[in-house]
Amino acid sequence: MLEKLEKMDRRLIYLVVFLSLTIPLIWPIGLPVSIGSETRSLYELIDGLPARTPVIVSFDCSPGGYGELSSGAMALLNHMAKKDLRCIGMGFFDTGPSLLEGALASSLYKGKTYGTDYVNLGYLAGGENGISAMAKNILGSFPKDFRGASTAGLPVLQGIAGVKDMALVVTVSSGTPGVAEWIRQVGDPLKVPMATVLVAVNIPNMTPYLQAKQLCGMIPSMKGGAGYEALINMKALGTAGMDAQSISHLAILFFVILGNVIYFAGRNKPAAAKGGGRQ
Amino acid sequence: MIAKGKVFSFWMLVVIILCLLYSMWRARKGRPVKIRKITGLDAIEEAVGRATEMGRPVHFCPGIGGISAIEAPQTFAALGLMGYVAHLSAKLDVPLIVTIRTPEVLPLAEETVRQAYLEEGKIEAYIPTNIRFLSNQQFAYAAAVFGIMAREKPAANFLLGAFWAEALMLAEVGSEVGALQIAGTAQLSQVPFFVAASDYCLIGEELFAGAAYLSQDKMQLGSILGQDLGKAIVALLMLAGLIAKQAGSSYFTTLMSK
Amino acid sequence: MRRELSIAVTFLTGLLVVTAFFFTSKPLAQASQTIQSWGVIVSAFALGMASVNLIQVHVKKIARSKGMEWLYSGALLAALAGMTLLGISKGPANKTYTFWFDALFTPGQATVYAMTGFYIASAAFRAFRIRNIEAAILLVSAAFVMLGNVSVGEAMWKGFPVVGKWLMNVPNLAGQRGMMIGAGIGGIAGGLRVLLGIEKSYLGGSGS
Repeated sequence: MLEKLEKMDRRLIYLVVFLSLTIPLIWPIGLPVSIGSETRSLYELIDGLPARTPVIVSFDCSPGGYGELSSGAMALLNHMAKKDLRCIGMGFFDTGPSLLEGALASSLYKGKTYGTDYVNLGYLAGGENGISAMAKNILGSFPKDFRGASTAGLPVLQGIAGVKDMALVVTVSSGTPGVAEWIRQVGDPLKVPMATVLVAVNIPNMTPYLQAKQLCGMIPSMKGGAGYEALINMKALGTAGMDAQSISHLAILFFVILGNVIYFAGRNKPAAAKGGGRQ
Repeated sequence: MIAKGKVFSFWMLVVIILCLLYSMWRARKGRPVKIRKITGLDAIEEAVGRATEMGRPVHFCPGIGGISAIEAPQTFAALGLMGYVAHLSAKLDVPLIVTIRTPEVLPLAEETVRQAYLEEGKIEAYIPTNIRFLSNQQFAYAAAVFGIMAREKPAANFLLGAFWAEALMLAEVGSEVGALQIAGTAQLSQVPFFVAASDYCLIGEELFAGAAYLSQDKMQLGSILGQDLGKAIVALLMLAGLIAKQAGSSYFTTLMSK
Repeated sequence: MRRELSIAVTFLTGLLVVTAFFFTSKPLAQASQTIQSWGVIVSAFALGMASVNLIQVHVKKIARSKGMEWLYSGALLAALAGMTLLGISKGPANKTYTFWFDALFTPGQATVYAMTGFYIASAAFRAFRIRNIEAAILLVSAAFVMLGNVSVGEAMWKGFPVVGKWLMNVPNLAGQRGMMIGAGIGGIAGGLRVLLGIEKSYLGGSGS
């Protein structure tokens, strides 16, 4: 029996994980969502900004990572739209501006005027070099926006000489270039407040920046997104996804415990040597 | 002169470079440098040998990072190790498949492998189309590697360099096809996945020490010692800062923000 | 001679970019910016060259394929050609380009990324065995962090998020900082070896 479990087809594990994710999405349990202090800090910062304040929202993420970040990013954009803040969108991942375009179209910004209330400046190549170039000269780095129109004279960019005129920079980040690069090129040298919407796997790496106050807020993964949705009173994907995340975590812990039960029960028997995986 | 906010960083860089230069000079003068045993590097020959015995290819991925960003040192370290693996593969007549995500790494990988085959006198065995650019999109690249591993069933899988979210998936698929896996990265977020999913894992600086460890080149070994000297200086600074902070002085905090 | 020239160019450009980062000098900054723009241009050409490699590999596959295997390579080449022509002629904001991006590319990337969830379950089952004290500590910590990050954990016991957060903010952070410093210095050493021509692996051969 134990040998059968040890050699169990991986697809059975995948099936259990699939069911643990799907069932709560179809039949939500409604578990309460807690709000982290870093999420609350960002909410309060944005809530305190006067109308028409410009904020950079940089989509530095791939479509793969965006699945995890979308709830936080959408909640952020909706809050900014509610507060009538100017959204200066851009991206340093080639796929970022396309994702931003979709996000803006699904957010409360769709009821506002492009070019006056928000803009998608598009993609700037070069990674950290691109961020450095943009920090020195925004208009020069983006002579045309994502839609191909000239950025000169756009009302949304009025009064903005450089990144120093921004009240906040938020990077929706799933990799590199991301938070560290923005802090090195903009946050630290220009003293512009920085925040991030971040994938879970990068949270341990970025917590030092939060502690050192180089980041003033963070929406960590879907949990942070669900928390932000609760703060702005617009429950959406993040909240719906937390039940699924809870049950799938329990499923994974179950398999870890099962693996250890099999291991301890079969410890005296000689293990079959196989390539791949630690013995 | 020196830009505001970068004075301390500049002088720290100078100190670290001086440590590196001193250690390399010392090694060149004949003072031996010993590096502790790194199991993952010792296992490279075992892995390629396994592939020869099983008649299956070796797969090498030098990470998905480029050569112009902060992960560039990892890519160069991986290319160094790729040269070593290519030498072994040429010597033991085992096919080497290299999969590339970043376009600018492709010519470097081609040249590294071709040169290795040339130096082993096996240039006719070098197959240029075994060095494959798959896609510069992260998950399209990962999906293509899954397909290659499922079809070619490598007996040895090297995942060395800068990796992001696809790391665990590459290691798991390698495990599914029964490959002996040696992984290594300095991307802190991916180290736990490699530790869990691969047979041998090079963590952080062990990847950078790879070329020095395998070649036993004096200058490279010297630079490893220099790294350790630099770390010792940083540790002393941290300790001094901690003691000063506890005593109520913000001298080091002010110094480091200059 | 080719090697020496490559090493010299590497050294000079590296020195210029590093110096421009630290020193306030307009000519240096401009020179550094120019070199970095050249880097972007070289990357773009490298992408073109890599596409040629891709086309070569897949045309060979189509020529040698048995059965219906050619279909996959054919689809790849058709998509490569189609999206390249569309992007160049109409731009990335074009409706057709956006349609294929939203309908095919984004879900495809998201799907492959989502597979990580399944792979972590199988990796956890296979590898998270309590073989020694360190593995036991790892397992217990992982359980606290996992349950602390989800609503069900907090519902089971209020202490899970508290302990989970402490584990992330204290021992994990200490380890991360140590590794970050080590990897950072390792990166400086690696960069210096490349600049000084001690690390020559990128020029071909075994690198020594």
